[in-house]
Amino acid sequence: MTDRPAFEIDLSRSVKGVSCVTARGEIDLAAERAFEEVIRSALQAASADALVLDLRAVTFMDSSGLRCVLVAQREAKAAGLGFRLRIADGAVERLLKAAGVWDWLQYE
Amino acid sequence: MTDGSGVVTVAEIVPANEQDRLAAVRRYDILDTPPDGAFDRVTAVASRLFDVPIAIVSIVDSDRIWFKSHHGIEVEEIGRDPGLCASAILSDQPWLVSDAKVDPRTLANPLVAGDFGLRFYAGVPLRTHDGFNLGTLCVIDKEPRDVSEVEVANLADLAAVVMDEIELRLSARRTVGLEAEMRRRAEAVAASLQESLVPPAVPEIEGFDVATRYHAAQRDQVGGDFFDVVAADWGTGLIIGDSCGKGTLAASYAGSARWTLHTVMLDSQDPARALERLNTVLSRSKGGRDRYVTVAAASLCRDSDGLRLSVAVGGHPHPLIVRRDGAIERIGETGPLVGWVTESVYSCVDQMLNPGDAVVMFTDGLLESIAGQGETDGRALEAVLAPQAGRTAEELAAALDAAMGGDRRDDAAFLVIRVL
Repeated sequence: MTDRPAFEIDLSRSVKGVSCVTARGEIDLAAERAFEEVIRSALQAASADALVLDLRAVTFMDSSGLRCVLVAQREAKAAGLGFRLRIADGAVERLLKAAGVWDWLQYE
Repeated sequence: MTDGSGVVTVAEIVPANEQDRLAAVRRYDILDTPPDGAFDRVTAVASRLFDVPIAIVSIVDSDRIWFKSHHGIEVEEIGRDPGLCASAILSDQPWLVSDAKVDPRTLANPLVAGDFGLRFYAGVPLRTHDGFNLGTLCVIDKEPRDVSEVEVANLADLAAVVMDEIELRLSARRTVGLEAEMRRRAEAVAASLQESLVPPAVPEIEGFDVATRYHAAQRDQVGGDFFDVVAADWGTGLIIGDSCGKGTLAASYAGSARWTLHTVMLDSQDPARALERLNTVLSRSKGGRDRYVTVAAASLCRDSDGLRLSVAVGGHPHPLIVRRDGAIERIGETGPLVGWVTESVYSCVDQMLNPGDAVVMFTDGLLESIAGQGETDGRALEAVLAPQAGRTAEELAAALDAAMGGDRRDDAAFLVIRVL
C-alpha cells in the first residue's frame, strides 16, 4: 500500500465478443467497489457474449472479492452471457475451495 | 426613553424580545471565545476609517457587555450600563453620540462619568438574519466629534462583515457538530449491532467449559463475524460464522443469519440440516440478494456411544478438535457458502469426544492473524493449540489471543468448548 495501489483492475474487450476483466494484486474490501464497477461495465458491453475474469495475478482475495466474483457470475448468467475464470494456483484457488464454491464456476 | 431627570434607567435598556435575544446570543455561542483575527481586522479597519483610537465588537449578555474584539483598549468586558452598546442594541439604527458628556442619554454611563472619559461613540447593531441584535460594532474616542453619513454607512458595512463572520462560524460549528453527531450515532449503531451478533453471555453448559472472543479490527466499523452457543433440549449447538464485507449491512445480515441458525438449532441436532434450512432462508431473502455467510455449525449430544460431536461446514474454516493428548483433528466436510444458491447441500461429520478434549471454532480473521494473510490452512493455528491440550477453555483462548498479531486487518472471532 505504499507507492502504487494494492490492486489494479482493467477491462479489455478482446476478440469474438469476450469481455475480459483483469485484476492484479489484493482484491479485498478496499478494491471491492472498483472491481464491481469494472465488472458491471464489462457486462454492459453490448457486443459481449462472454465475460472472463482473469485473476491470475491476484495475490490475495477475501470474501469481498469472492462476493464480486459470484455476483459477476450471476449477472452474466442473467444476461445470457458465458462466464469463466482464469486463475493460477494459489490464493484464489484456495479461497474458492475453502468457500465451497469451486464446483460452481467454470475455468479456462 | 428617559425618566424625569433625563437619565436612562436600567429597566429601559432591556429589549422587548430580551429572552429570545439572549437565546440567540447563546445559540451563536460566541461569548468568552478566544480572540479571532477576522474580528480584530475589522476593528482595526474601523479605527483607521474613523481615525479614532478605539473600536470594539461587543456582545450584550444578560448582565455584561463582552468584547469579542477590542482595538485600542485592554478591556475584555464592561457592565451592561445604559447609554452606549446596551442602548445601541435597542434599535436597528446606528447609535450616535457626538459628545457623551453633555448627552443626557450617556452622561451617567461609568465610561463617560468616570476616569475613562469617553466623549464620542458610534455603534451599529450586529443583527442576526432572524432579527436579533447580539451586540455592536462601535468606534469610540475620548474627544467629541461628529460623524458623516458616509462614515455611518461604512460602519454599517463593517458591522455586516462582522455578522457574516459570526454566521459563518455558527454554520461551520453546526457542520462539525453534525458530523461528530453522525459519527457518534454510527458508532452507537455499530456497537448495538455488534451486541446483536455476539451473545452478551454464553450460557453455562453443564459438563463443559466455554470461552469466546470477539476481536474487532476497528472500533467504529462492525464486521460480520458472529458466534453463538445454543442450549437446546437435545444438547448443545455451536455456531460460528462470517458474512462478507463490513459495516452495518454486513452486520445486520450476519445478525439475521445467527438468529435464524440459533432458532433452527433449537429444534434440530443435525447441523447439516440446520445449514440447509439457513441456506433456504437466506437465499430466498430479497434484502440479502448479493450477500452470503460462511458458517460452521456443530452439535454436542450424548448418546449411547458417549458424547458425539457433529459438524457441518458451509464455506467456512473447519473446526478443530484439540485432543487431551495434544492431537489436533480438523473436522467437517466443506460445503458451499450459505445463502447464495437455493440448492446447496451440506453433510455432517461425527467424532466422539472424551473428557479433556476441546473443540475450537473460529473465523478466518483468527487464522490470518496467526498464519498470515490469505492463509486457509490451519497448521500455524494447530501449532499454537497443541501445547495447550488438556487445559481449560479460557487457557486455550488466552493462548490464541497471545498468538494473534496486534495489527489486525480483519475481525476475528472464536469459540472454545472443552469437555469436563
